[in-house]
Amino acid sequence: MNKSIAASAWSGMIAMMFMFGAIISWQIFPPPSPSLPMAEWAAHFTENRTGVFVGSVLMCIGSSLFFPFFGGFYGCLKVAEGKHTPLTYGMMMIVPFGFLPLFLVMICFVTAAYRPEMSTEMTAALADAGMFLLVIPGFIGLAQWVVTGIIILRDVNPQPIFPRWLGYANIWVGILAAPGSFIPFFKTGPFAWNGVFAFWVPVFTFGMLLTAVLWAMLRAAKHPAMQQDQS
Amino acid sequence: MTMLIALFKNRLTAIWAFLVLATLISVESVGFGANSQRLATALITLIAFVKVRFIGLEFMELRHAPLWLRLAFEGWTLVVCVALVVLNYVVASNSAP
Amino acid sequence: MIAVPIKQPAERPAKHIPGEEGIWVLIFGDMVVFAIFFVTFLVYKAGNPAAYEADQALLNPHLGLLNTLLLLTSSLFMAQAVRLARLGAKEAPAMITATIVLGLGFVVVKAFEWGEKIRAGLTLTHSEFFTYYYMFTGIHLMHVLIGLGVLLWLRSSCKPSEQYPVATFEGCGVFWHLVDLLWVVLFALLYLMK
Repeated sequence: MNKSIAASAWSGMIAMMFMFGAIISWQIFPPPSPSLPMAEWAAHFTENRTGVFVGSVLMCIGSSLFFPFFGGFYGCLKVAEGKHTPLTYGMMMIVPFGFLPLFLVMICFVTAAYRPEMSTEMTAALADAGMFLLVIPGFIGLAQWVVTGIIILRDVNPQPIFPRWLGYANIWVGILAAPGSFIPFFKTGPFAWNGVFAFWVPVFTFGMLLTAVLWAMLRAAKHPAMQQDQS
Repeated sequence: MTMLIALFKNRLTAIWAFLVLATLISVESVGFGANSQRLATALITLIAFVKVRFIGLEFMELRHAPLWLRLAFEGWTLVVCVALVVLNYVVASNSAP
Repeated sequence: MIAVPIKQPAERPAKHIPGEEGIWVLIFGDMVVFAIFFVTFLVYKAGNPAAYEADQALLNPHLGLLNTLLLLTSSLFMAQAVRLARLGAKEAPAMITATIVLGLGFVVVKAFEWGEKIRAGLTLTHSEFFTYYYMFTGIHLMHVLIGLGVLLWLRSSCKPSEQYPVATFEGCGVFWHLVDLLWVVLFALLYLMK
């Protein structure tokens, strides 16, 4: 049993709970419609100031805990990929690129709520920027999960580190993440930031995939190739 | 040339011919006219899912798959087909003056 | 990419999972999400049928038909490739090449069709119908491109001296037929159903 892999898997679980807490605390689950009048959209932040600030603390904790999780995940992927690991290196760069926006989301939301006397336009613009940062990285998700899927399917070990279906599930979730990048075009309908295909499908499948990855990492922690050398 | 014919002289090609024919019929049935538009749309939906079923069973070879896999596929085909027929009926009812 | 561990049964067993078990997670996952696409489209269409019909009339059904025939034919070649790979016939890689060429034909026609619409001012945000048209055909096109990548990889992994990786042929085939199958419904939904 590789304890660091197991620990990083659990840090992913805790991270997910904190991040979900942040989204609840921000009251953007379900997200308000982008077609709300600007004043109402701004009021959403100025009238929930405490919630916005608490949410940001939760997001700060949650998004940090994601990195140990991905550290463990890289560890497994590296062994799966074999001696040379260009795809794992690629994945190592895509993940920070996709997670950095989460930090900016909380700065935008906090700034929107910080000074209630600020003009409605300003508050609404910052809140919009926060929503865009949260949802637009869809294509980054596509790259991240498809690359991960390819690594899992190309496993060089006689007994693969991860089950093969997980590789296919990664590719599926990656494809579904993409529509998020199109939210600026829409204020209503299924492709707007509160829509089925831009928000609900990606969020739901992302949650399912992370849970599956977590389970697979706990399983991989017992894999012979994942044990530390005794020498 | 005869070699090429030999390569394609099998069940798969017959299925393909059927699929092409079904496609042409569904395209033609668009022009049935306003009176039977509901019927034409239902027919188009039905033909589409018959094609889907043949692609699954013959090309994907689900005909030879374990029962659970085949049932999952056929279940999807049936459920989605019925859903689209019903929804098309609702669309047609809403567009009637 | 999807190098399925090689096992080559001399004869196909009576009950056999095409490709491998895992790939059906992707296949059914996609089928479920596309089912949600189809239903969403019709639910919104029911809200304003006249506008959707007016927009639908602006599509060129001949291009849609051409693309349907291209994909159906490519599926035939793909299915023949799997059959020939199972027999160990030397023509199997050529069948993959033909599948790729037909798939590229689909991409070219789609690009031409989109270009025609965009020049006419019918863009993504022109109307609800065109939003669905571009998003659905776009997501489908992404599947076509992924499928073409997979087929190119399969073609390059056919070495003359070795046995064909039959399970890999099947897996790639199943994905390619999925691309075909989803297009069959999209074609009916966007171009034909009134």
